[in-house]
Amino acid sequence: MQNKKSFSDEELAIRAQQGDMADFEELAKRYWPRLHRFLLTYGNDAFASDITQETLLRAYQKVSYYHSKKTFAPWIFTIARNLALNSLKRSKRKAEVAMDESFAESHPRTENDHEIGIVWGKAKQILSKTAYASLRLHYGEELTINEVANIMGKSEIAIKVILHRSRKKIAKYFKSNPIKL
Amino acid sequence: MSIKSILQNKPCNEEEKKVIEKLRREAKSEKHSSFQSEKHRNEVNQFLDLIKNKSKPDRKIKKTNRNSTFYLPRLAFASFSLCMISFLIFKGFEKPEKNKSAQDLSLIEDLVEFEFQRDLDFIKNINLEKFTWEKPSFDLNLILTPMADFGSLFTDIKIITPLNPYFDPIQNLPNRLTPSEFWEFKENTTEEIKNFRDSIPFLEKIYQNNRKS
Repeated sequence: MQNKKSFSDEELAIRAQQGDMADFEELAKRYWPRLHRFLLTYGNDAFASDITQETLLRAYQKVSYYHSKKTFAPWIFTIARNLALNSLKRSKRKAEVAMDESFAESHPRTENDHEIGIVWGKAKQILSKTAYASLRLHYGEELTINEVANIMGKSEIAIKVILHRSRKKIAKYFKSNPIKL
Repeated sequence: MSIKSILQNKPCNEEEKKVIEKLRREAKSEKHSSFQSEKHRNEVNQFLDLIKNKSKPDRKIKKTNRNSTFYLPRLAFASFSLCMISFLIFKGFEKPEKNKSAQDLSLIEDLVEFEFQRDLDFIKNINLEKFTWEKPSFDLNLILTPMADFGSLFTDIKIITPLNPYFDPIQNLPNRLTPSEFWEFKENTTEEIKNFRDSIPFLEKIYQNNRKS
């Protein structure tokens, strides 16, 4: 039997569509930390864990909807983002700004921040949620501009502009607050 | 410079380059540490236990090569589509206008040759030879008419199949007269003929125009 680790995400998803539970387990192991880190954009550790679980559960139930010719990562990240925003809406919290400010102010450094590096941590504090999520997907998860645009529901140009502004903002921050980059 | 760097998604200066490098390096170390994280492993295991107890994934939508035995909805959909296509081909989207202009007479002229006279009995002189009361050799109506009737159930527009022997392009004319009904109608009293003429206002107009010319 071939080692599951040698399969690509897409191959595993296709095999999971055919009902192979073990393949989905491998996908869950691969994506749990990635989704969790991405979802820290929208809330704290508990929130990220809940939505990660919900995302993977949704992906498991709806794996037959996954289109085999497309890459798997954008599909699952889109589910994660939508679930996170829906959850924020449901709990009547403002998705983009309010959470950022209140959370950053009340929890300047929490347990989830141990997972992320110094630059990412600072980026999270100084950037908007959309900007941080785009940055995370492009530089953290190595997704293409097109894939990021699809996940974030924006045009490619908009994502390029967001990334440009984010890079500039972080560089400016570290220029005035120098650390060893 | 700035626009170029935006479009190419490249850093503008050295600081930005360093930021990107650092972000990528940190992301890599994050990945490495999270794979070894006991917390994540526990969470994943909990999740896997959860889905094992859950119902099977939704497999209603299969991709290809599905041999379905559920033919009835497909058959209904196919026949409905066929009705709509035939309706669109033969009838078009436009509803017939109530007061058609005299130009539309060309349609009826293909079927009826008018020989106008001065008196009001012109209707008697309509050459009816071009009406084809006989069924066509291949009666497509046997297929099209039930389809059109079926299609009429879903619309307010009355569908008239073009090969209907009683096909009437002008909506004001009585529809679907049988030959005997038509002859009976024609041979009725002058009053009825007058009524018939009045029911086709533009015919009277043409008649008047022809008289003038």
